[in-house]
Amino acid sequence: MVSGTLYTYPENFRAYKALIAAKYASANVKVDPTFVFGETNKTDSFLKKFPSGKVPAFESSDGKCLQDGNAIAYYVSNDQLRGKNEFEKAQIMQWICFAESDILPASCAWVFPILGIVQYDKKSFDRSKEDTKANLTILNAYLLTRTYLVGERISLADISVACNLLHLYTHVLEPEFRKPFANVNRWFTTIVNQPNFREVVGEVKLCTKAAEVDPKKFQQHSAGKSAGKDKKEKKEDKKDKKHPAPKKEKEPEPEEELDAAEAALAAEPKSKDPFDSLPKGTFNMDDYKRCYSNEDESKSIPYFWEKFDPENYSIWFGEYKYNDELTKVFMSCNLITGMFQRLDKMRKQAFASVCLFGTDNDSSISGIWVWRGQELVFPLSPDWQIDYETYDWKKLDPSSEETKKLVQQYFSWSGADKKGRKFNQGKIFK
Amino acid sequence: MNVNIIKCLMQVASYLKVQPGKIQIGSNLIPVRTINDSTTKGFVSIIFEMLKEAKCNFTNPLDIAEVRQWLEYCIVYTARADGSQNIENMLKELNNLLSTKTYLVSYKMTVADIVLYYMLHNVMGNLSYLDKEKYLHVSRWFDNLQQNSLVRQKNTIVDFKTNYLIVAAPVKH
Repeated sequence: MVSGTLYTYPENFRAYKALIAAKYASANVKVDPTFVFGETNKTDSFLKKFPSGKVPAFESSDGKCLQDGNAIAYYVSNDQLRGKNEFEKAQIMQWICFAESDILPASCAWVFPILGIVQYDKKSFDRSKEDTKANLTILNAYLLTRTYLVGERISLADISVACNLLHLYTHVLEPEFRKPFANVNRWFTTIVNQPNFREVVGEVKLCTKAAEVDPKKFQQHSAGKSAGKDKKEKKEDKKDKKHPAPKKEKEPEPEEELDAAEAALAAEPKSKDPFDSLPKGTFNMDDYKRCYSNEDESKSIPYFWEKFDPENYSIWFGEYKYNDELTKVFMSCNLITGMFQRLDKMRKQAFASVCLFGTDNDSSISGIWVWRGQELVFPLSPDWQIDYETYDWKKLDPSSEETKKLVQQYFSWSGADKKGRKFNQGKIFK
Repeated sequence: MNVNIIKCLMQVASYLKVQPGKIQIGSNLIPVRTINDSTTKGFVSIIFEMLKEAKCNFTNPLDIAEVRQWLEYCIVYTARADGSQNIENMLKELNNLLSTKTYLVSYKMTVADIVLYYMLHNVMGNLSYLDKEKYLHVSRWFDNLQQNSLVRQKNTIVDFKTNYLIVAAPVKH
């Protein structure tokens, strides 16, 4: 029997798998109560044991280290859960892979925009519903003739698949949506109501009405937190920290796990919007960003000029002051994304396309910014004052041809800078 | 349908690992259990007595009530269902119920499932492949129970293999 310590933040469905398996096997697995997400898992001693810094992570009492919820669950479970022969073990692995590569991505794409953890994108949001339907159809057909996924008793397959379905069943699978999947519903309610499951997860309340996307939630949540949290950006964030960017304040750690962001979401108090003092105007930022994301520039740029409200909004040209000091392109890009992150609270009322021109050791950063109000926006909030002084800001006249050209160039990521360096990469603040 | 009540109670006793005592059918076809000089009358009462001896205590009063209700159902309907029409109605009813439930009571196997399994064993064994498919949910529930050797005891395994094919090639009835 295994015993050891599990490192995780609370209510992590990945950690649930290990904790439930441990209950079945009566393994003595304790969650470390002193673990603080974003701190403990950044310490050297933690990274030495768990190089990725991801949780859940497990250390057995005899010093063995493991990462990933499914792997830990396997290690702390018993023969019943692992399958009674090689074929069953293979089937269990098959279902765990299905849970990870099919169920989870669709679930994240659907639930996370609702929780405000990632930004809403209509295409992937709508697609996630279809993907979820397809996944549930497969499960439903399979469970028509079966009580459990593998064999005639509960196994790791049931635990993993049910845990990966938790967010869906509690947030979005409203009765009408889940009605065609009666076999999955039957199986799911049976699994989540097993005493060992309940002891870990508590009562699972099935969704009664699908939650909707609330853009405000994302804005609030992303304040001070990294926003676009795909893996690539996360990596960039980390690099950014090592880069000696001019920052004085300690910024909150970017969330490693989307679910932790969710936990943080609940805890975070609503902050006052520094834009509240400015008139609203007619330019709809969200609407424009959607247009920019979904349409070609040949449509979105004319759309911008059609909707732009010069009374209440202004266009700015921001140019990095220390272009001579820029070295590697990826570091410069991190500089831009890092700034975007620190400006998260501005996202709702601002849009920008910041471009990097040139190549390694010969490059420049500049961008076109649009925000609410006529003044330089950064002094409005202390959170925003970290980077802006490293840029030269020039207000542009929205009616001049020159401005139109600049907007065209920066929004379509083309052209060259003043010194003729070619466009290399662009980053959109939205 | 010819269910041997005495055999059923003996199997329950064996499953619960308690002494069956002496079980007879008394007047009015009511089973009577005599053990250690004490006598218990009635199917449901005997099973609850056995549960007590096996220290199988339910904590939830609702579960107890539902188990009792199912035991009554077993003895009143299942055990006495005679004629294909009655059996068909009962299977239809159970099939409907088991489409949304894994077990009869709450979310775990209880003595209610076990008693119904013993009582249905003959019926299920005699179903044609087409009928097993028609009562797919009953079949699934039954198959799950019989895989547990403690429950099955010496009963034969009923074959449901063809049911698993229907996912690949659904048949319309």
